Amino acid sequence: MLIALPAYNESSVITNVIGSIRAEGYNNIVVIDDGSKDDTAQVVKSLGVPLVRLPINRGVGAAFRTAIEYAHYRNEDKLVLMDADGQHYPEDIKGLVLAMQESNADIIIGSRFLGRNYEHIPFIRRVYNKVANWVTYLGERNVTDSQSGFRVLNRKAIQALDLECDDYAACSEMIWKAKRQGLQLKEAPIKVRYTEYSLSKGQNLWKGVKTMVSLVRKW
Amino acid sequence: MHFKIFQIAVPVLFIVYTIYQISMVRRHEKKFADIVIPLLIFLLLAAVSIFPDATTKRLARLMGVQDNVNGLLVFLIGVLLLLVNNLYEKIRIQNATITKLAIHVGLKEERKENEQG
Repeated sequence: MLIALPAYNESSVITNVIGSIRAEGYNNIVVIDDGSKDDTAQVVKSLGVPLVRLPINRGVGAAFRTAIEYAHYRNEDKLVLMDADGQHYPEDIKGLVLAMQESNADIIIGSRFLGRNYEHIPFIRRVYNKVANWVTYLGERNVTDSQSGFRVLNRKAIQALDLECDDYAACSEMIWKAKRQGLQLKEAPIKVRYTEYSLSKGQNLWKGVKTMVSLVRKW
Repeated sequence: MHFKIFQIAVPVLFIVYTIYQISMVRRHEKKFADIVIPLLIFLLLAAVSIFPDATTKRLARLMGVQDNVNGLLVFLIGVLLLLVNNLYEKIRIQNATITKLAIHVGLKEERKENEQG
C-alpha cells in the first residue's frame, strides 16, 4: 500500500506529517511535489522519502494524477491519497482500508461529514462543500464529502481511473468517472484538524469559483 | 453605381483568405471542419460590405433588433464571443498538454534518480 502526499509549499509541516505517518507503521510513502517554490523537495529528500517533483505548479488534480500513475507503474495494490498540510490523521488510514475490505469498494472517500460532529469545520468550507456536493450529485452520484482529499483506491481503480482536471474539480471528476467505469465507491468517516496553517491552504472563494466553473464544464 | 473602397477591399480579402485556408487544408496543416466557421463569418462580412443596407436590414430582422446598425453590432459581438471561445479552447488544450508533460517529466526524473540509486 502506497501513501501519496500531494504537496505544494509545505516545507514547514511536511516533516511532521511524514513522521506521523511513519509512526503509524506506514513506510511506503511518496510525496508529489506540485512545483513548490519553497524547500519542500529538499526537506522530503533529506527524510529519505521518494519524491516526484513536477517542474511547474499544475494543481492538486495534476498531483492526484501523478500519484495514480506512479502507483500504477509500481503495481501497488492500494493507493492512499491524503493532504500534506497535516489536516488528516494517519490513524484514519486503518479505518478507510478496513471499510474498503468490508464493503468490497474500489474507492473509499474519507468523509468529514459522516457520523461525527463536524461543527468545528469552518462555516464557509461547509457551505462550499455543500454546493460542490450538489454539483457532484448532478453528475449522478451522491456523496457527503465530494471534496475530501483523503481517499483510498484499490488496484482496479488505480488502473481504470483516467482523470483530466488539474484543479480541485478532480475530486468530483474522480467520483463521476468511478461511476462511469463501474467502480464501487463508498465513504467512511474521518477526523480533520483545522489549524491556521491548513486554513490558509486548500480552497478559498476564488479557487472555489474556478473549481465550480471547471466542474460545470466537465459535467 | 458608386462603390466605396471597403466594398471592394473586404471581398478581395475574403478571396485571399479563402485561398490561403484551402491551401492549408490541402497541405494537411488544418482540417476542413476548422475553416468552415471562419470562412462563413468572412463570407457574411463580404456580403455585408457589398450590399450593406440590404444585408444588415435582413440581419436585423433575423435577430429581431430594431435597425440594421444594431443588427451589425449584435452580429459582431457574436463573432467576438466565438473567437473568445476558440481561444479558450486552444488554451484548454495547451494547459492539458502542459500538465501531461509536467507529469511525464516528474515521473521520468524520479525513475532516473531511482535507477541511479
